[in-house]
Amino acid sequence: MKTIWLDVSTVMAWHRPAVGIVRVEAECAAYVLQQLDAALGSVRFCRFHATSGYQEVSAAEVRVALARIQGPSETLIGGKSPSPSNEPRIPLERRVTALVLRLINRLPVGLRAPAFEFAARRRESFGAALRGYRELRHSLKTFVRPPQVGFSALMNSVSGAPTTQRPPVPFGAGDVYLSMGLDWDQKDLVYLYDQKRSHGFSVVLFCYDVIPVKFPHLCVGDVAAKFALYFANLAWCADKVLCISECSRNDLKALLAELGAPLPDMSVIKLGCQLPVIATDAIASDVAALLGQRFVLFVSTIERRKNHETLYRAYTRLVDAGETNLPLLVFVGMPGWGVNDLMADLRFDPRTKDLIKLLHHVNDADLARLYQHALMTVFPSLYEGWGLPVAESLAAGKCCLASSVASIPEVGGDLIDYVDPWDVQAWAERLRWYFNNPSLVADKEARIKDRYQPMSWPMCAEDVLSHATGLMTRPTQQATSR
Amino acid sequence: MKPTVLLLSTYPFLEPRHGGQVRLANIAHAFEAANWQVESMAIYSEGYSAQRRGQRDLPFPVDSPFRQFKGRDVPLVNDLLTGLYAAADDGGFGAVVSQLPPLVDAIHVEQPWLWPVAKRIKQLPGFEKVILIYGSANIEAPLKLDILTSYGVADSAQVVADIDALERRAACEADVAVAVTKSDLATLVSWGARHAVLASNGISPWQATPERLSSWRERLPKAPWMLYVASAHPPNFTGFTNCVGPSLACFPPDSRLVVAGSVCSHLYQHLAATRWHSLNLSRLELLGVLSDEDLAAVKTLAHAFLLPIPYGGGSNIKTAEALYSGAYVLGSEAAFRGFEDLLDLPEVVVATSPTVFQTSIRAVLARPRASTAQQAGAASQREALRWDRCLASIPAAAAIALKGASAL
Repeated sequence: MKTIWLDVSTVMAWHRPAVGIVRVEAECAAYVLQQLDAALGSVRFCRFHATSGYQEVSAAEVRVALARIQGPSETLIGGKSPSPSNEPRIPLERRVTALVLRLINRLPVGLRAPAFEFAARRRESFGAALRGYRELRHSLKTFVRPPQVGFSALMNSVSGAPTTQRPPVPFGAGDVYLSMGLDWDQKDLVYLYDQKRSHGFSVVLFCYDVIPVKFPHLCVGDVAAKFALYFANLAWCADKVLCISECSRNDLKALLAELGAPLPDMSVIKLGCQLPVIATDAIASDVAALLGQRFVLFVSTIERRKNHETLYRAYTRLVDAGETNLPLLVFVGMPGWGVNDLMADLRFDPRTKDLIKLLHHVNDADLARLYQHALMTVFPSLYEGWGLPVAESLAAGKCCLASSVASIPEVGGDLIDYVDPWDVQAWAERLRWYFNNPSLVADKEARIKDRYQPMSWPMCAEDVLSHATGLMTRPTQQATSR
Repeated sequence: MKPTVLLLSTYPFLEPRHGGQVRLANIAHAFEAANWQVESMAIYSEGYSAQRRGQRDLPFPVDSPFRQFKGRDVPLVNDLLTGLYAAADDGGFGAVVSQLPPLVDAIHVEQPWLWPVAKRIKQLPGFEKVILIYGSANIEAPLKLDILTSYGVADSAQVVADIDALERRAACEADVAVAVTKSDLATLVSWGARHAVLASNGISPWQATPERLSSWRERLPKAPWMLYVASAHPPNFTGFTNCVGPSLACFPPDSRLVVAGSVCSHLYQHLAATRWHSLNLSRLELLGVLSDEDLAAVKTLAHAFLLPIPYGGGSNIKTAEALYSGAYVLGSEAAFRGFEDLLDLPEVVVATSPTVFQTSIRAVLARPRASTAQQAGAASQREALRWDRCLASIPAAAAIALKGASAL
């Protein structure tokens, strides 16, 4: 019997709440678990490990992993759209702060307050020291291991020698291997290609976006070369690539054509965007303080690509123009890279200091509340593979003023307005128009509620699996003898 | 008594490595096979150890004032400057005369650079009846222009004009002018060559030993791979991406572009400097300069040969070897110059753009190895690629010219 092998390596290795790509894999795994006794009995789980290769994972193990990452049992809303360049990671600053607070709490009670004050007054210097540490670590790393393979290393390479000896893959001829995780970090596509040719199974892989290659300056470090290698290998491995938007599909096609790689069959799937069911009355105090006020919501990691800068500048222009009818602008998301100057501006600019609020640790229930109470949402991102915050906003029935680039118009269609992400003046004018015409915003919301059909995660998972099933019905691929 | 031919060149060829040396070594063999006494003199630039030099070979000193072109430093024109040096009384002509064999019947000047030297030798007492053979390996002026342009060398017009004049003069003055392609032959004739003959580049048949085959089979990819053999001649790496494109993603993850020859380090630098360096280096296997035994094994194992030659006159010796191998041969239009008669072989693919190169590389690597029957089908065409068959026209033409000169 032919089998679909769903790779759950990313979920199995994850220990934090599932967002972005982890969420996609978790939702598909959850869907398969729900269906195991029904029509999808032919789906099994696997994971990849660098030394032991591909191994089957039991349904029980997957259930434990999903429970651990608070995955699909309650529907999450991710503040971050899935992107190879945008995986959540607890920032070092936050980890150090938590450590310092834990240490202070261990001190005798009488010492805690002065110790806290001592540390708080030196927060700036600690921050500078951490940044310096990062630079030093990066310089040492690139000094010891330069990014390019050296000529002498290449001259001594032996491509014909067997690579890491791994046990045989559990996949057989006619099976379909399906992976949607952090493959560029966790998988060995050269090995997968070799095994596929040896065993004759089919491969379905994902493309979330090609931003690391197309806009490497919007990512951390020189990632273009690494991701070009990844996408080239993906093209050789995959019988089908599932892209999360037409934009991503077109971008991938253009990239593979530029690279001269083969063009595998590609299909577009729509990601789920369900909002969570609020199961608790507990509300964080900073969220509760906002709910009674007028505010505009922007949910996204605070990093260059998400373009918080344009909103900040638009607000400063409105203030400079004497606009007084300004709601709060709420940024929900963790600070990422490349925004040090912006963060300083937000902290010190007296024009916006009391207008722009940052919320860093918002749980899913509170995030749903913020969506419910927001006047509207904004999303000025410079580039996206999809644009999940826009879908979530629409699923919550909220109007969104969004960036006009990349995949974002695919998400909102004609239900919302779009503005060039670099056109600060246009953002300022459009926001003022919304603020001064609440009834028109209400009309837009009514239209959204009437017409927008949010994609549920089970529907998304079903669609993904249907593409894999489609490959099972074609003639079995011939294994290639070597 | 055997007639004597003196081969003049700007490189020794005792241990032939690059294409020019290989051709010249085989020209020597062709004369010997035709019962000529062969002497040779190279005026060489740095880089040749004692065991690689012949007894009459002479250095072009590094500190010579002739290293400048008309008072200024111009890179990549040592070949032209070598001729100016060797023909000058205040240069190396005295040394040249001191190394001349006592009797010479013909002087074969390989490439035009030393033509002025040959002309001066012919003026010496006792050498008046020497016949002069001009061996045109390329039409050099446009080739030099391409090289200098690709390196961004400014003010190259005068250099190129001088080379053009030198080539035309050699073609007109030679008793025998030798071309490597039909196209070059037509050019030489149009310049006024009196007796022009075609002597294509060829190959020396190779036979790999079982030990070397086994060793290289272990080392090289198990999946089909492509071989690129080339010297450090600039177009071999500067023009690579123009032909194939900047990325090697057209090679499957388990395949490689296997590169042999002194082009390796240059090609590495070239591909490592591209935006796709990680990808490119993952698809490269660099072997460096190999012994004849190892190269024979590698050539025997290759699934296909890649010939990304962007421009240049003449014909490519590596093309002849690739065609002779019977494996798939994928090359640019320029790579097949001189081998147009073999383009209809089933295993030959001519690529006219990077996109066609990439598509063809993917297609060729997916095909089964070229069959023995397929190879046998064109056996006679392949045999015609052997050096002895290709170059026999040179001593034959020289003999005729020598006869004519004696009759005067």
